[in-house]
Amino acid sequence: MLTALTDDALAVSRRGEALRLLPSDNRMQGCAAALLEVAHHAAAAGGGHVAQAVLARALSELRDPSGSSDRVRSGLSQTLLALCAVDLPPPDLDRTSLRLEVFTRAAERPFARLLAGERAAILRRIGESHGVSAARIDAWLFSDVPSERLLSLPAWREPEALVAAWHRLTLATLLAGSLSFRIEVEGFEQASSRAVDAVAQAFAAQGLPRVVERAGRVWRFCGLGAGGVKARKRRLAQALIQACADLPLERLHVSLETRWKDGKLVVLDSQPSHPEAAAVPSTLLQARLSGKRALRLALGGDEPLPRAPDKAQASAQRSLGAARAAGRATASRPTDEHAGPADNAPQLPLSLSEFAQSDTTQQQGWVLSERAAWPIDEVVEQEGARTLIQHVELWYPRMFAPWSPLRLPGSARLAVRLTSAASLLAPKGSPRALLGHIEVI
Amino acid sequence: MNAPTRLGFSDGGLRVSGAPAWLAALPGARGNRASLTLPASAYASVVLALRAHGDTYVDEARAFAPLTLTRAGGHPPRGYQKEALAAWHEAGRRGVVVLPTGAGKSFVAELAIALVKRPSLVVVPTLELVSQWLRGLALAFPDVALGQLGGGVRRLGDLTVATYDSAALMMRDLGDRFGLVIFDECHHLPAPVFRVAAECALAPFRLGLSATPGDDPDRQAQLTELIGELVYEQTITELRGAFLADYDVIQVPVELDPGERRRYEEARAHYLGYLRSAGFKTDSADGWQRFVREAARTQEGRSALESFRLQRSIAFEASAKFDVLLRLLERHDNERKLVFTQDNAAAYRVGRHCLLPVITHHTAAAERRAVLDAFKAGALRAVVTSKVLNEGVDVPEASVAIILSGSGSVREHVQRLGRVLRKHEAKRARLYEIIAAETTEVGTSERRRAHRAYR
Repeated sequence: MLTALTDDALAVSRRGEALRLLPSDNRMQGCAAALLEVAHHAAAAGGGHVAQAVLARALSELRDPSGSSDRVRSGLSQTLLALCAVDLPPPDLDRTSLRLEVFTRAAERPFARLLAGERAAILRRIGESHGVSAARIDAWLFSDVPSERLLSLPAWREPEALVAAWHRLTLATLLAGSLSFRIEVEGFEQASSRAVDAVAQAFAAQGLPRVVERAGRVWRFCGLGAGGVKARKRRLAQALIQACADLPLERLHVSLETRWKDGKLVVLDSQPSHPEAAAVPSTLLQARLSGKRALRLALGGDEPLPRAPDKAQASAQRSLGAARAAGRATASRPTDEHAGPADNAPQLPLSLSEFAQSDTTQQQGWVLSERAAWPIDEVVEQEGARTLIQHVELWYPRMFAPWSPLRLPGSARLAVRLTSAASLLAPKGSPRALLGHIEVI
Repeated sequence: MNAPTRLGFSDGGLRVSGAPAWLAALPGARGNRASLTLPASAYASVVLALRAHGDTYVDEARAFAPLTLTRAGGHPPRGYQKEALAAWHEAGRRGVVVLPTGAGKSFVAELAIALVKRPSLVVVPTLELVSQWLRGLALAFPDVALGQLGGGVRRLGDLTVATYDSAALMMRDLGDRFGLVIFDECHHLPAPVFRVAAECALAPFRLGLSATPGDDPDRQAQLTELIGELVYEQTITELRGAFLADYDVIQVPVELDPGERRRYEEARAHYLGYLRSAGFKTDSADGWQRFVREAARTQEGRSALESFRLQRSIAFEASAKFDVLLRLLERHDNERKLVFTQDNAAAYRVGRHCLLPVITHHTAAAERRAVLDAFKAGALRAVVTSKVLNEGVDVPEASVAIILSGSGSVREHVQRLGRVLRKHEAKRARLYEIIAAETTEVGTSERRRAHRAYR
């Protein structure tokens, strides 16, 4: 199964991966990201139930690295399970087209026959045309609908409950690669309208997320404000409580928001005049630019942008890769990037098959591009995303230290794969596919 | 000799310099005669008053000029549409026209645009309606540049369509550009966040359109203030048969199964027990709001609120309802059907089980368009939705509406009925309302049916 999962994971990598940036001081989130990747690829390979099984096993061995309370840990598990219980269609399968295909095919039949068993037959035939089972088609139909509401509390006026829920929200928001979220209220229309203004004013007064769009009872925010994660969550919670305390709202929903436009992820920009300026494009070059912008957002908006790649270094690295000879890689890697490959030095980059066969790749971080595997340091140079990679380098050892090697069913082998460092590419119409940056196989 | 009065527009307000004394005394005026500020919506009355007083003035406020436009041919207006336009014209080209869904409100608006011949803004509640209006205007005025505000687009044209949200956000900057503003589904306008769209607009000519203006005197007064008086009204019952499809409304009561009944009674007893113990009376809007506000402050209150929600969801989602729905879909297999639910989750459950397309606020515009096009063409015979198709969307081919669940709102219920009333060949429309018997849903149904369309 692991081989199959790996193959599918590689397939996902080839289609482009999402940028994943998490606060380096939050190991819980790092842990979540890693586990989520396992489930993500398990879902891609075997469906939601396989993802859940893999994740359940991983969670059973999860020790609480941050010393946080069981409540937070429990919330983490639930969030992960909820997020992972989503089957992932291949990105070249357009979900809208799939739905129309299914529904129009169904509409060709008398409804009575649909109920009498034709439904399964329709799904089976469509599944066959896509090379998958009827169950997968069934699971994919609406799995891109963001139905889970991560924070949906009648008890939302309890600060502790709200902070705990915010923890889950920020985790999931960060995991989704988008720092925007959505709040929706239920209640009387006028109270809901007043809540929109009250929350927006309260947030603005405290330097908290900016409202980027509002539509009736739903309003969307961008960013998480400045300061530490915990402080931000508490301020958000308090502002929310303060703003809505006297409004007769029946219920408050907070959910992560990942916007899609023309099949692309839209990363919300921090500039007020261009709330959706950074639509993630489909070319790698442009994706890198968007990745930098997203990085700046992820780091709180105050960090400098990653330095541009050193062209000479990048060229040398490409030459190095092009000169690669066939053969199995060894553990070491070149220390002088301008020296060229020595006879017994690793031939970089490794092909993906070499990477998969190597016994030594588990000893360090690797970055997989579409066709090759590089040590993380090499990618720093080649991708020119120093800040990004430094950030990740700081983060990922902490992420794995408490429980490394992460034991997965059937294998203890571990490799961290950072795919195209600054790539925010994601399959069309699939927010779940954003979970593909850090992979544990 | 005194300098003439000068009118200007800035930040959603009407700026007046060198104002005569009587103008400075107007309600809402701020500042002094040298520099006076009024809401932009006061523009028409200020200009008319200046003219009446014989005062000279320089109008630097409005940034629009008359247009040359001609409405393309097509069918002539119906009698009541001509009457509506005449009534609006006689009221100074300001006011609200109430016509049932399917009676051609947008046609009246096109007539108004052609009459006024000024750059016009149409304000609508949803992006779906933005697209629909743009298509209609393109057909009616093929030579006119069209603009759009909303859905990520900010493009002004001689005729522009905007969502209420975008209009509210942008009118402070753009309020001087339009001579006519049409508020479609204008019952939304009095909402605090939306009324800015009317207050910050200079537009001397205003038309409100609605099928369900509501009975709330406070909101009616606000509509009068922001748009004008109610100038014309026709009801469903007056137009059914002749201009609207004739229709039947059929209620289908279902029983909760024993397990549902037990859970329902437990949750309801818990909720009512809390109401009694805490002394709340929820038979008025104020009482309910007070309960919700206070209940959220204690663990017991929150638990009671959750029980309230549970008993309501059990009634909304009774398993027997689903069985009835399947039978209705089978019975009307060859007709175009709309299935309405109270929430998205129920809509997606129906869609998945019956392999029917679902349109909710999650559905992207392109997919909505594709689904509705296929629905109109007959490639799809049913669409499931929660609330986004309640208003305005034009699906003349739909003849059967099935209400699986809904709120107690009269407006919502009338709008849902309206989706199937558009005249199309010789169709007879049917609205089915599936209700869980001996639950609070019976009362909810009675409340939403408090409209002459259901009598």
